[in-house]
Amino acid sequence: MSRHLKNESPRDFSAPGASESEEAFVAGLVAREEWAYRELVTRFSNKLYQLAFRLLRRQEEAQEILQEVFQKVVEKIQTFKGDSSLSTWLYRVTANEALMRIRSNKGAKDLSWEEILPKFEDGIWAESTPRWARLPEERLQEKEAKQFFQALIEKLPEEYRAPYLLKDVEQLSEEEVCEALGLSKPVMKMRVHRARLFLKKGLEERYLK
Amino acid sequence: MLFRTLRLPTCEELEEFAYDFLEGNLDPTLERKVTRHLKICPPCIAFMNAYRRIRALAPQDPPPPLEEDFKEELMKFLRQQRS
Repeated sequence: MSRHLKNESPRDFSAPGASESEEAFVAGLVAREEWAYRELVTRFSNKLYQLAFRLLRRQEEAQEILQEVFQKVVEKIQTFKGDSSLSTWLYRVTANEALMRIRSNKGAKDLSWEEILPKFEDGIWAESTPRWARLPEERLQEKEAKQFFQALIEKLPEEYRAPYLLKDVEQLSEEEVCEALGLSKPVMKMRVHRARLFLKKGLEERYLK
Repeated sequence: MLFRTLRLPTCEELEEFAYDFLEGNLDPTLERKVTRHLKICPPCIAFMNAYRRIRALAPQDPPPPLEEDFKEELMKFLRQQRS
């Protein structure tokens, strides 16, 4: 499939991602400067908290994760080489901490993908997609529908939920999602695609059957 | 050879290409073939419409904001690390 994709020559992610101002900021963090810590809190605490909350869905746990992430920044910032941007690195640390917490909390069970993935016979649909034209957008924006959709997201196993959240909800680029989660692009795409298929099926069963 | 060049993707292939199609990742030739298939195949039209809507449904409501008090606690914590 990759032969059909544009931009086949990979971007050079080995080149330093940090601009000069980012280099100065990182240097300030390494040196434990007050101004750098203030900037870290001001610039990043909301976004990282948002990611942790979306993964964990609990305010207190997300706050704990944020504190653990900042602890890691203090301890490990000197290992940051500038191969990615600082924000991608921070996303990665946050995602790792949150995912470890989910695993220890015994997250969503494995799904039976056999029942979720589309079925084909000789390359043609074996069952058709319900007509989503019967489901007005306003219906999906109602509180109950949004809560239901959120509950579906939480049913996704974390290896599918995390890439879905970073790609579709946080709207990171594909490269940023791969960097943050340590995934190859084909694996990341497959997991986001399957997450979307799972959510689609869940909504169809609720509203279109 | 000519048939192979003109062959449109099957429905199964189109489902596999759906992610890259919506992300704009397909090369122009394949994108044209997928688009042509989508003009003549009602089941794939239905699938792609649903897939597009799912992608657009990703919740954009922001989580509850991080309290300012907590941000100050973070700063206190970070200051402690300086000493």
